[in-house]
Amino acid sequence: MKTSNIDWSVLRGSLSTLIICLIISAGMLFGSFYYRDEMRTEFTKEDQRFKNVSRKYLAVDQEEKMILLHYPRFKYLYQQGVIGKEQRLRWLETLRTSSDELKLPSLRYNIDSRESFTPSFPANQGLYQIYTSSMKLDLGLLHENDLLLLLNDLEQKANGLYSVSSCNLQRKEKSITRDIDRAKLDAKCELLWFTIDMAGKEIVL
Amino acid sequence: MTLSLKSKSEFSNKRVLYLSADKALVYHWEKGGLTESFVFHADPAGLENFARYLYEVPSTPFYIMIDVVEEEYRLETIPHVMGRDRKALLARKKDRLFRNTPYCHAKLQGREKEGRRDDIFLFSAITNPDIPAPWLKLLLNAKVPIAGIYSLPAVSGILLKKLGITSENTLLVTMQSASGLRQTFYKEKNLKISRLAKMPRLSTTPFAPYLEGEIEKIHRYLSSLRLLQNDESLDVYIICQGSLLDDVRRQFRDTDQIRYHLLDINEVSTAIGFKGQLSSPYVDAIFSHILAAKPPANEYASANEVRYYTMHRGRIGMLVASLLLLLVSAFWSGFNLIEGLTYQQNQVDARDKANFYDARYRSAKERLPKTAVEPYDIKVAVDLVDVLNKHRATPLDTMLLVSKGLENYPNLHVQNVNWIAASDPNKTVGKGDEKDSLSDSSIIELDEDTYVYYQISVIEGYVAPFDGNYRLALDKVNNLAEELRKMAHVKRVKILALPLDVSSESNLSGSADLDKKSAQRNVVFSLKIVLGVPRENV
Repeated sequence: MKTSNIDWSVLRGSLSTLIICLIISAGMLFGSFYYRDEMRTEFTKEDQRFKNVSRKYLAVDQEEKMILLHYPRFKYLYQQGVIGKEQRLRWLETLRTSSDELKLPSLRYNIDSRESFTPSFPANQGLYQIYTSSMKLDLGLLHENDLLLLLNDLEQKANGLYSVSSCNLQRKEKSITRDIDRAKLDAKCELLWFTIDMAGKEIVL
Repeated sequence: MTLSLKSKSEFSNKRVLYLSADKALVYHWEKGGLTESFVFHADPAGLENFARYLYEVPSTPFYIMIDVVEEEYRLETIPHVMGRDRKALLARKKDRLFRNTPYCHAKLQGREKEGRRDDIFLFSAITNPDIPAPWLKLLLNAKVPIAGIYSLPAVSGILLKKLGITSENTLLVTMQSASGLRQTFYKEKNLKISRLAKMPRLSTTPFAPYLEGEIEKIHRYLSSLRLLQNDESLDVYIICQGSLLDDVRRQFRDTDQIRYHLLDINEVSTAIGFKGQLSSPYVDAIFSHILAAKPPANEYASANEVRYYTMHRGRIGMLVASLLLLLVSAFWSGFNLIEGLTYQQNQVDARDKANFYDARYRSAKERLPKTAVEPYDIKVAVDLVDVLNKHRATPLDTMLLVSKGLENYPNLHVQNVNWIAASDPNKTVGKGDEKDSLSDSSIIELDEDTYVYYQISVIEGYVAPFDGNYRLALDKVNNLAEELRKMAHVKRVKILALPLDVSSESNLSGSADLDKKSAQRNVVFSLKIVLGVPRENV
């Protein structure tokens, strides 16, 4: 049937009805879907909250055990500057004290700013982020053992946790000299000082 | 004219317009049966009444059945072709046979049994289009849907089927109040010709002799057309009623050539499902019932004439679609609503339970010591520090290893140590060991189960004092390397440089009378040591 043969006055009523029904149907469907989805979202949220809180409630005893077992050490690590803020002043004080005690001919250091660290080994970080600060030491040594003694002092006295990532020891001269203030070896080492902190939140005891 | 208006218009309601040359009968079809009838005469007053009727009665579709003398039948054959070719052939044939009428129809009745086996078509036409024209004009003006235009003989074929008449040569004789006596001949159930004769008023002339005469006439006509051979008999079915039926029964006797079958009109009406009793011998209502009950495909109406019916169907389609749309969306929305309400109820339950457990949890938590972080996070932090502790490295192990190795070689001295800690044992230190890592055979397999990390170092040293004995110097460096290899967790000791490179790949030059001082500058060596740090040690 050609369009020109269509008498729209005959079809107008039913066409209007169809359009109105279409609008009503679309409205009903949109409204009902919106309501259902909203309710489902609300339910999912509340259900998740219920699951979380019930799990936490059931885990209270376990939490108590965890606190008793681990919190003293947590506090110690916090005071040691491994958890929370770095204690750089303590590092520098230890370096200076050790250098004096070991009578090192020279000691220069450079500490970079703290950066996020992604370990190459498996580690459950939970909500925590590991940070490292790189400390570069340039030492003049009288004996190889002085390096080990200095590292030991840092481990024992400086608050923090470090790992030596690289070290270069260079003997300056082959013959023995009588000048006891003159460095026999040069040592260049890089230490990574680790700290862990809550991602985006500072831990305060 | 009796007029009973009904505002109710159902989708299944329809009307039959029975058109003869003198009058038009309108039958209303509602709820599976004929309900009312109206008579309009083919004169200006009748047409005016019909026009008024059309505007006052709900616009249900019309099925128009024409019963006029001016209807011609022609049996023709055309080559057996299909599709567009057949259409073109039929159009050409119609144009040639019935030039002056638009009401022309062709019906396929089989194929010839011999020769080209052409298609046999019965062409029929209303040769006087002026008869239906005024009625159709009024219908179109009133925008009334016309479903189709049919001829009465075509509809009577349906009646034969309903009555189960299967004779080879059948003559159906019916009386119509609007037109007269109709005799329709079927050969092998196919309509061949139909003849309408004016009928005298029933009570004025003896009906049975008149009927016998008419049947005799058509019998002779059929023979002359060779539609009926001399040895063939004709089965005549006469639909009649009451005393007329008795007259006919008395008058007619079967012969070798003609066998009479007399059918009571009320038995016929029962057979076709017509409701009610008929008190006259006229079959107008029966044919109208048959047409309305199961209308065949349109025969005569043009596309222009059925356009309001097409729109009517479109209108119904749209209304049905609207209703379905509403029903489906209402059902679906209802389902969504129920689902939403269930979620809402479950949400309230979950919130109540969460609040209950939250209160209990807070109460239980109050007795716990205050902590900076959640208890679970305390353990994570402590464990994480343990992991970091495990992986912290110092060069102590390597230095102890080298010191121990050198104990038995007092004239081998370390000049330079380059040390790194790495999780990859094949990592290069960058002091001449790059080539070492390129060789496939030198790859050390990573053993994460045993070792936490690896200490990789390049030791550079010299031989002092050196008396010029290269063989002895080489032996000592080789022995040192061998001793280091035997130590625990040493994964590799590779000599990177010897006091004297005696390999065939290198150039070698010098002086046999070297003094010791000048030789001493050259007797250096270099070792690469890879030491694994085992898990149990950290």
